[in-house]
Amino acid sequence: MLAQHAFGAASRYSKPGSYHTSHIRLPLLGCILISLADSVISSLGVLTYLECTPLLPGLTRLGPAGKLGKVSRRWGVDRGWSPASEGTRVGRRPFPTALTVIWLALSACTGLGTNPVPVGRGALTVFAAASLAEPFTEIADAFESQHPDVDVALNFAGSQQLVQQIVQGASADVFASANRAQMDVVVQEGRIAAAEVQDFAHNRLVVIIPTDNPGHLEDLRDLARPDLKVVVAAPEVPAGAYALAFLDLAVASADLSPEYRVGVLSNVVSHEENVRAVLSKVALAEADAGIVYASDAAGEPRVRMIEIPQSMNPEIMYPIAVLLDAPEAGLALTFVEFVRSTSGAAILLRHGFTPAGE
Amino acid sequence: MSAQPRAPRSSSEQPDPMSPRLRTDGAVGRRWDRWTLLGLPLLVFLALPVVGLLIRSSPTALVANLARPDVGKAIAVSLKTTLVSIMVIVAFGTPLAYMLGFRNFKGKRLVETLVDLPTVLPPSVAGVALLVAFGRRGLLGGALEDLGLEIAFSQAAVVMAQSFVAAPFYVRTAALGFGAVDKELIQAAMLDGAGSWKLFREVVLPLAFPSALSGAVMSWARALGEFGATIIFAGNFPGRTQTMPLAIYIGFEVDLNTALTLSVILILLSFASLWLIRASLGRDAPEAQASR
Repeated sequence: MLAQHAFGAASRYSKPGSYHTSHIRLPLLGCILISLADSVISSLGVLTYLECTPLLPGLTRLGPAGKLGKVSRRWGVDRGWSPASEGTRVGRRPFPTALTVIWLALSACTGLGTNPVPVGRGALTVFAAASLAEPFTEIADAFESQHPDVDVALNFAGSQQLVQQIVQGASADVFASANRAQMDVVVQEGRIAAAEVQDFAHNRLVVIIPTDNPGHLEDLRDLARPDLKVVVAAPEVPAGAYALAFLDLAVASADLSPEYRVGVLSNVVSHEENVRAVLSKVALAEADAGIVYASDAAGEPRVRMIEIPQSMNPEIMYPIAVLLDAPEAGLALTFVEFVRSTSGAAILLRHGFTPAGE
Repeated sequence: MSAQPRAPRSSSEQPDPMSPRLRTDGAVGRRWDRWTLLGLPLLVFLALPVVGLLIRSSPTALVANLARPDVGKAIAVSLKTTLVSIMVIVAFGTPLAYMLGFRNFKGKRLVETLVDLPTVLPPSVAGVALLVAFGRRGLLGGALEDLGLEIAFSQAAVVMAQSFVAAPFYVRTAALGFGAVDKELIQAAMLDGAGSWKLFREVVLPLAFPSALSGAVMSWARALGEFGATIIFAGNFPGRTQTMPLAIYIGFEVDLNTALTLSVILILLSFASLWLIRASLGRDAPEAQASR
């Protein structure tokens, strides 16, 4: 209501006369607007991708040839503006200039929207799964100190998101995925050769508990004890799918009874949307236990690990590959070799991963 | 503002037919003037995603998806928690709004800012803040645990997250409504011997009811859309704490159909509630504006 009050005051001061003073600028403004609308409409080609084609005819009708165009011509007449009285403006024809300016601005914007394209010599773009953020930052630093003329640009996100970016044409040299399935999508899309893909690390699942252990868990068996609060990642998330795979393996093993799976699942109070959220909930002691990657637990002092035996641990491989159209293919190969070298392996090991060689 | 004498106001409500203001209104009312054109890009930008969503989902698929248990559960959880939330908000928000609407006191601006804060906070911040306050290791966590109350991962946590984020919409709107009630009427009622409760019940509430109602509907719509605070504070468990926005987010990566169905339902519900506000208050609004 304050806003209404202010608006009311403002409109009281705006006299009809002042409404007219700026009309000379209108044609120019209209042209800019129309060219902007045109650019927007042409960028709506994205809609075809989204299968929204029924929408397009209606939109294109709004283009310069359609209603907007006619309206802009009518404007001048309505406002008492005629070409004869403003001859200089007609002669200047601001339309192409405005169009160019808008076009340039829009190109600049779309440039910002996509992933950074390597500029200059020795710039390497690495797309890596979010769980690799810590070791890969360190590996990139080590790599840069070995190759002082190289600048490594890292892009971390969920493997699924990275795959989407690559499939939609983002420029990258190296892709490191958190699982084989996502890597396979890129291979199927023809951006990576199947022979190029190699596993460089594995991860393993662990059960984590807060350091003060409010649920009094001692071993894996306790996870099925009634009245515990256990958080896991949602089954839609890789870490959640792996947690379910662990329960299947546990039931199949001789050590734990078939009721174990049911017991653990009935303790689950939340399916977190990603594995780091599981870690946070346990670190804050909101939950009594959680199931995460060893690499996540390694960096968190507020949680303690309960190991899951290898026989019950699903295989979690991290593949890496150079993209077929990598702008810096040679350098990219050197980087992949560095990740797989002993110095790369040492960094991975420090962050809770098991290097592929071991 | 209502303390001003009424005479000048009523004269401004009946404009002189010869005044230039009428002609200005006519210019603004023309179908394709510059304001329409300048406003069009944003309007298209706002409408396009909604239209796209509606086009993308066929009615038959929508009905088929509605029968799925996870979709049904999410809708049930959302309706239950938001209805409880709005009752909590109205019950505790009305006295606060009444106080803010009528009393002037030292630090009122601070209180008002505090009430407004959740509307500008990212909901995830609200979630973390709630966790720090009411979580097991939070400020009140120990006290709550002694009482045998465990809030985290329960529907109570969903209600708290929704109430925290949505309450300001009700309190602010209701407070403005209460504050706009004519002071002369209140004085007259008090002279006639109306007590504090009777004054509220029979004078202020009926006059401010449209504001309070629109605030409540807006607040409910906001609670329905609550995501960030809920997923952080209450977690995500289908049938217990998984509301529609959570199911949309989790479903988006794997099962676009669930996400689409729930999105369309959310849009329809939100649109209907906002429309309801407009319809019930739309005719009053211009008068209210003119009377400021």
